Amino acid sequence: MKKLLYLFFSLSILHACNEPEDAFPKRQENLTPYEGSKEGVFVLNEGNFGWGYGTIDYIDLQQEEVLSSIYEQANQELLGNVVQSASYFQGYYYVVVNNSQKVVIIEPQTFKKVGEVNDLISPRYFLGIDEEKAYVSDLYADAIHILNPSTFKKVGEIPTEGWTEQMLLIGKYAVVAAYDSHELLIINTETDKIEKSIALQAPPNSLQLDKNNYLWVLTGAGDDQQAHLYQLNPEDFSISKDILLDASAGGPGHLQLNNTKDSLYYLQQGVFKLSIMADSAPAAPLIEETISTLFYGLGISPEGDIWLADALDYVQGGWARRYSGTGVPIDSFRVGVIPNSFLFH
Amino acid sequence: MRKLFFSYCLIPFLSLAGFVQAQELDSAILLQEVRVEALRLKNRTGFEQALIDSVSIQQYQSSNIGELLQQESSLFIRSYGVSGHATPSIRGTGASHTQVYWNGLLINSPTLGQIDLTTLPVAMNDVIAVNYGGGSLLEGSGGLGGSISLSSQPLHQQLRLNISATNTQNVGGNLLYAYGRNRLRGSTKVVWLENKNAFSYLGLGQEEQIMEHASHQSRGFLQTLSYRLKPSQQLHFASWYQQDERELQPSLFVNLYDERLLEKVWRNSLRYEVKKTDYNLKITGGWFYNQLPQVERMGELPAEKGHINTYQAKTHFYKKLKGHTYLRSGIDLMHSAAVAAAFQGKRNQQRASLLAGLETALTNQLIVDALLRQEWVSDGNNSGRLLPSLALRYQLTPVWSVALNGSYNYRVLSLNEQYWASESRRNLLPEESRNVELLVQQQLPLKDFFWKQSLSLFSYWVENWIIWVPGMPSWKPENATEVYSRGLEYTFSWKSEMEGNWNWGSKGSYTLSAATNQQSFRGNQEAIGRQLIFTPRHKASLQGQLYYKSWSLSFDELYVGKRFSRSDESEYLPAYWLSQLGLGYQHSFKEQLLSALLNIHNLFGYHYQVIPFYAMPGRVWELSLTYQLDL
Repeated sequence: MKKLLYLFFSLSILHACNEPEDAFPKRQENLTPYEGSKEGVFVLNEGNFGWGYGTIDYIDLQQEEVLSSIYEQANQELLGNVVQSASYFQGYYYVVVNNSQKVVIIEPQTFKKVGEVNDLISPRYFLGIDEEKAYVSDLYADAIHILNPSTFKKVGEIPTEGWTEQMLLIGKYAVVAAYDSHELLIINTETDKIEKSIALQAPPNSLQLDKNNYLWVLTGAGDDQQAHLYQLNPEDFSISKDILLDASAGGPGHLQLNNTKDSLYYLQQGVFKLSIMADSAPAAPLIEETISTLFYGLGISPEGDIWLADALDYVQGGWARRYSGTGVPIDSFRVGVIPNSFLFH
Repeated sequence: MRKLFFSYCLIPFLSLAGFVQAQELDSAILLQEVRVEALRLKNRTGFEQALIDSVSIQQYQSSNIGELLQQESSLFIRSYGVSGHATPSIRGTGASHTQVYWNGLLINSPTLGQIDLTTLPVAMNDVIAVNYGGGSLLEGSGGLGGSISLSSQPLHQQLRLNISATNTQNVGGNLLYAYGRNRLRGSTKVVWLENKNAFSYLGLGQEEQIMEHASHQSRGFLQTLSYRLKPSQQLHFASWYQQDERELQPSLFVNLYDERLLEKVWRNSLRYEVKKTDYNLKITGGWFYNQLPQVERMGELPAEKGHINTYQAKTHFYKKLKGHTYLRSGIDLMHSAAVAAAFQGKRNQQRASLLAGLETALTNQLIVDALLRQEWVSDGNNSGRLLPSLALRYQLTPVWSVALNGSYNYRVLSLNEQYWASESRRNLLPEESRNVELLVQQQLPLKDFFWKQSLSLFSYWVENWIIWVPGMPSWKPENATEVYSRGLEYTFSWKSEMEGNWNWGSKGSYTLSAATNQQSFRGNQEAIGRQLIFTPRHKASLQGQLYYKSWSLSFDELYVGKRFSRSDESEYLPAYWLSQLGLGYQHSFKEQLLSALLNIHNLFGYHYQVIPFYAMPGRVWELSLTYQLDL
């Protein structure tokens, strides 16, 4: 009986050493503080849905080093679950944190949080309209959220059908990629009403505006296993080009423009490049995905370099890989879990 | 050699309403005993099986199978909070590498290839066992880690009511009425659950909060009927209907939550069994209907309802040839038809297996058990396989034995793996494993003392390991890696009668599972040789029970080692210890029995998470009352 009592008290002591923070994950890495952006690139890392956490890393290109999790360091809190996207608007970064259902507003030099808009269901992308208006698309809300960037509050909604993705501002119109309904929604930002919807043959995922002010829309795979790259006239949103892409091995995404806005890039198990004057899809990728890479995000820097987010196996830190505009590897940096996009400030 | 057959129906007689009942109802068991001269249908010789004792099953009447197995077995259960998905990991293998059978029929979802243990109430089952590795091949293929066997059976005549409540606003119960004598017997059981799971936890900012989004309501109905056609022939029927409505506990990052998961399942099995002195024939048929889980979001249900119909038929024949030589043979058939929006219509899968095996004693000490299972599958990617398993068992002394077994197994691709979002999966291959195990066992049944211990050294090599990876527009499965899981497992149990009215006993286990990536995903080198995420290298449990007259006291300790949450081992969740204290009392008068059991779960309020950012409860008080009337 004495032995049992000893065992009981031993366990009591053992358990008394347990602190609340012991429940949380422990990371084995040294963090260097962020001291403002000089010449560098921000990398958004989604983190694993549900059980992971998203981070933002800063790649200092002068020192050639990565400052990890700079938001956590500056604010002593986790940014949230699934860092989906970020936009620079009126002096702040608006970071959309999907599964945490919020948009976090960050001051760029200190990376301190200045505000937060919560309870947004499943936000995807932010589009700044003016000083008092911004839109946020959403996966499940069946609505575009209307925020006031000066008060950091949600002020309204625009009803939609299903999942909405990337958005683009053309004059007074916001163009929204409506993924579920295979449409482009044209919203008058003065009235917050959908004035027009353009039917597409596949789900749109990304948008760009070229140097001639033509709108480019990239879709995922349609029912016919083909994706589309549309060019639209921004005057009346009529489709002026429809380039078919083979999507039997998975749909393309992450449409980007180069710095001169005359070449398009997209990801489809490799990086494809085509001129805005092209009428057909490129036959071969500019940068091929290999057995050891998993391209998950794409960015083109103001200098014309191609940045690729390599998510590896999705459950460890990935890589930010830099290539020249012609596809020649330059360097690579180890970043956070599931990197998905880049910010060039 | 004729063997004494104790009907499986006896096992539920051990269903007791507390620790003490186990000690005092032995006489009742003897009164209900049915003795039939017949060949006993044995488990595989030389393969490890862990049978959960009926006292534990009774103690966990208000729990689900996941909670029971986490505490009572060497399995690690990955729980996404208290109401979220809970899936088993046997010796470092994945969730779909454990096949779950009910009355001998596979209940893993044909779409997912796995089953959520949260939706399997302990109260619906009377026999629960774990078959490790190749030992599962007798029931079916795909148990690369092993299988869990559940069984619901007719019980002796009784009326029993069990209710329980916790300080986290959980209330549940089950009512059993078992009736009939002689040729026809049956039982009707109703199980209900109203769990709010309103436990306190620390949020991301270390602020104390009350969980508001982990409720779980469940309604279940079980009907069994058993009819003895002749002394050696029986018909068993069981029907299990259950519907669950629950909030999948969100991670700590989620503030606004309004989602509910609705699930309905109806399982029916019919078995015809012939037990003769020299053979045993079992023919089982089953029809399962699963309404695919629907997510009610913001008060709205999706317009489309998916469902799966599964039909199974099994014939197993076990024949004594001569001396200690037995023949096994069987045919297993299965047809699954799933209708789901993600499949853009209906998808079917047919599976057929033939099995043949021999168990024979080469010498007085050495027994060989061999089994071949040939499987065919209708889908293109799921080519048929021949699955051999072999065990040698050597009886060193009357109490010591050593066994060596090896097997090859594979898992048929699930419907989701093949057809989800209609993407082409021409290159996806079924997972396959090669398992080897060395087993040393000692059993010492003395008059006042029972001692049993077992040491297993295992080595599982799994190829074509499938993981789901993010993609546009939806996630997709890929053959990501090879995994080598090796380690050891030690279990012991003992019971002792002391002088006076004192009895005590103890049992425990320790598992070391080094489950490492061997061929990293997409050539990435960082994960090679690293432990799989969410797979503890170490798990241990220790339980002690003390009985005095009508009182019982128990103490359970569970240790789960650290689990990595990144494949390069750069992040981990700390190890945790959970203690449980139980105090029981029972009072019997004539045919009636009233018992009470007070359990304190997580006695010391240990702060822990099983999966990162999914809160788990601190100290929980549970009171359980049982009334039983033997009819």
